[in-house]
Amino acid sequence: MKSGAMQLDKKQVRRESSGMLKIKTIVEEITHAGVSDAIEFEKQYRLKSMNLLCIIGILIIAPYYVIFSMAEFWYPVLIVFLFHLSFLSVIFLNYLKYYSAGNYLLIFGTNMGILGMSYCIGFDSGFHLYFLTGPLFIFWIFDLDQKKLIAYAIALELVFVLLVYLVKYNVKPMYDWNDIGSLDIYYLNMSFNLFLIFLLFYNYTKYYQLLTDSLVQKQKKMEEEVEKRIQSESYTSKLFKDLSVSYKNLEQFSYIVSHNVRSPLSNIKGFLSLYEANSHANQNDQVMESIKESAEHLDEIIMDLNVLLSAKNLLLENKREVCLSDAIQNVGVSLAAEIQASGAIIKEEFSINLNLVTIKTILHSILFNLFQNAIRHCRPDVYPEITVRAEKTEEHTTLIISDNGVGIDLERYNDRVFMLYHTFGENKEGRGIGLFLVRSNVEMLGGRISVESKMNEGTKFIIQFKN
Amino acid sequence: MNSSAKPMVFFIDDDPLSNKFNTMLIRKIHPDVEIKTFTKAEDALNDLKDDNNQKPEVIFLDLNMPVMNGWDFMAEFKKIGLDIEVVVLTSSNDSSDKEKAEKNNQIKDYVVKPLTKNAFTGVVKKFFRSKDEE
Repeated sequence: MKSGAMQLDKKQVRRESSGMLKIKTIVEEITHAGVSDAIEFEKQYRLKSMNLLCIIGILIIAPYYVIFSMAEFWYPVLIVFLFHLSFLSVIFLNYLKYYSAGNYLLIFGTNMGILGMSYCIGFDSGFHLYFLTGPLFIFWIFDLDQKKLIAYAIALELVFVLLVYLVKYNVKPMYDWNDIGSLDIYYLNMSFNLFLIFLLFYNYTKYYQLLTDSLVQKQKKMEEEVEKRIQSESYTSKLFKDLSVSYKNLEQFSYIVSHNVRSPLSNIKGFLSLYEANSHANQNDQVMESIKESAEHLDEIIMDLNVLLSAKNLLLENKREVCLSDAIQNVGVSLAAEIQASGAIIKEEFSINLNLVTIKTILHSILFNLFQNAIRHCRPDVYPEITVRAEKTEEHTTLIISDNGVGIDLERYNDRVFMLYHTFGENKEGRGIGLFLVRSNVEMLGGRISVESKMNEGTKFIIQFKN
Repeated sequence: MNSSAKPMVFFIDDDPLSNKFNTMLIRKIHPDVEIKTFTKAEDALNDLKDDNNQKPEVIFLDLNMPVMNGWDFMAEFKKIGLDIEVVVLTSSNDSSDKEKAEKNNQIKDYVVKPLTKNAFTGVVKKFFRSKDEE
């Protein structure tokens, strides 16, 4: 329905257009005989130009009616008519989608015409010159893959060449072409033939131009498609990453509940079982005191949990450019008291204007915890020294934070360094939260953290962020 | 070994409150049992290595401890080669911990805190009795 209406519109437009345009549209209509979107672009273009060549052939041949009629060469007039008939039939066969039949008819018809003309008015009339264009047409009208059909067509062409030469040497022409008058038919044919050759080359050139354009367009489409897929894939992988981080957090949470929350709770439960309502006060006092202590311990752990869980909300902040040097300075301010008390030095070994695109609060938390750890786990005989190195490549930004502290026995604690409530030294100040928070923060920013350490020499944390 | 010595149990747990509770519980139900508590697994190991010390009948071991955790202790304990029953006493009801404990044939039982009278007597009954029969 819709396409019908559109065609009606097209016809109306055509009726309104000027004479020249009318002819152009008629020609276009004819050249589209047998062309449909169902066939590939290459074949479409070949069909169109074949139809166009048939129209041009009809036009080129038409003057011969006048020429031969004036000289009263009636058989040649008939041959010209047969030429026209075969050209029209080719278009019609294409229209009916008998493409191969159309191809053969074109070869057969034109060669028959050449043979007929040679027979009637002699070889010297120059119709045989069309043999020059014949093979070019063969390679044009057939698909190069149709090798068999092309071979047959060439064989057919050769048979006609042979026949024409047989005619040349054995048959006296019916008409003397000098009778036509001052017109040199040989040069006329030669000009037409040259014209056809130029037309053919023009066609080839245009064809390759169109082919290239369509290929470029196809490639563009494909690239867009690929781009789209990459985008959706990266979205999926980001989602997957977020999900796995969330899952990890959940696992960690369940670990905390099963190990750390349950611990003071089970103490409370235990001490309650020792409480004797009607007994002497001495043991009950001890029980109550212990219950109170356990409850405080529980409260502490729940506060920690709160801190860890609320850290996830920091992700709601937007990433923006942060000057690393400024960030370190801010952490220095936050830790001013501890730095002063310990005599710690913070060294910056990176270019002064190094920027990170990151969430400021999270970066602060990472540096704060690492610096605090470095100060707390210093060796008693040296002043704590923290060195921050940074390197930015096209893909990654790497932060290396090293200290000269007591170090961590990695052979022993390798898998536990970043775990919650795991402490490694004799130092009682740490409760095993800092490094857990650091790793969790680094992962929130999509980074990775690793650790290198030597006992009594220091520890080095390597953090890598994707840019 | 002095046969007249009281039977002994070890509690290895980094949480002093937990040790305090366990001590109070055992004192109440088995006043004649000797109790030693350790907040560091290393200390317990050193104690076991010393031949002059009385060996316990059973060791109650916490898993989740800093520096040397329960599993680290088990690895070191195996090296000493003592035939002492180990019972895991932990606040963790994590199934992976339980499975790991079951796989270790030196660990005889897995008890989730808090320790109760029933659980303690259940665990120690068999070898206390067998000791008596000797």
